[in-house]
Amino acid sequence: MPTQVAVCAALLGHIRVRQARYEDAWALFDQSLNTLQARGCKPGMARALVGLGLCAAHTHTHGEPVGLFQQTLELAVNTASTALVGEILGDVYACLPPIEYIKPEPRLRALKAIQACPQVGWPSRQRGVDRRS
Amino acid sequence: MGDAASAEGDFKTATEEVRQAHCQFERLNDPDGRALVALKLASIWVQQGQSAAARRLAHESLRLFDETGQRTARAYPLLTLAEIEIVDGQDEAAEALIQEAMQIFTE
Repeated sequence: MPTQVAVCAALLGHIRVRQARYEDAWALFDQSLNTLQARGCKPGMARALVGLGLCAAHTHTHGEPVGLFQQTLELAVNTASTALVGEILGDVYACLPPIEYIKPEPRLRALKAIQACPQVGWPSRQRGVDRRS
Repeated sequence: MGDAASAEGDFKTATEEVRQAHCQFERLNDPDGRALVALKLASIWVQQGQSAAARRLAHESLRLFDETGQRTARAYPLLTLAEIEIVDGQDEAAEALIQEAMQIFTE
């Protein structure tokens, strides 16, 4: 899968999440992640991983959402992209309220990053994702 | 420079640098360059939640790529427009734009 097609797949995945088509979304994020990982595209990988985390949080059928979010945040922090960290943290907050499950150090760094750039846009954060109790 | 600032979340610097580039490409009468910087500015505005401005710039980028016959390049503003539609909650429109971009990328 070419890199740009992988980016398209990740975008489509987020639409499928909003349509509650989590299996389809998972497949799209999974394909996207494989390609972006092979190309070493860390921001793209982080977006695909957060998509997988969202699917996992909604379905409980795929892995462990907190683990996926943990990986995602660490990856995003490593890319030194404050905007990306902000986007991802927004998704995590919107989807998974008990954020204390994420290790303190990356969480603190992510919070500092999001404070540095409060105006970041990401679909699920702007429109809201169903909160889990 | 604008890319780096944008990636770091410094949208003010990114916008200023990309605007300067836009002026220079206009002075050079370089439509490809103008299309690229319009696309970059659109991407910055999307991240700041400025959908209307982003949409205008993405359309400008698309028009310029079309005028210069850059078939593959037009997929990029299509993707930016898809992001705008997603932000605006227009999932069907977004999906159509993504499919069109994917078609171009796989040709």
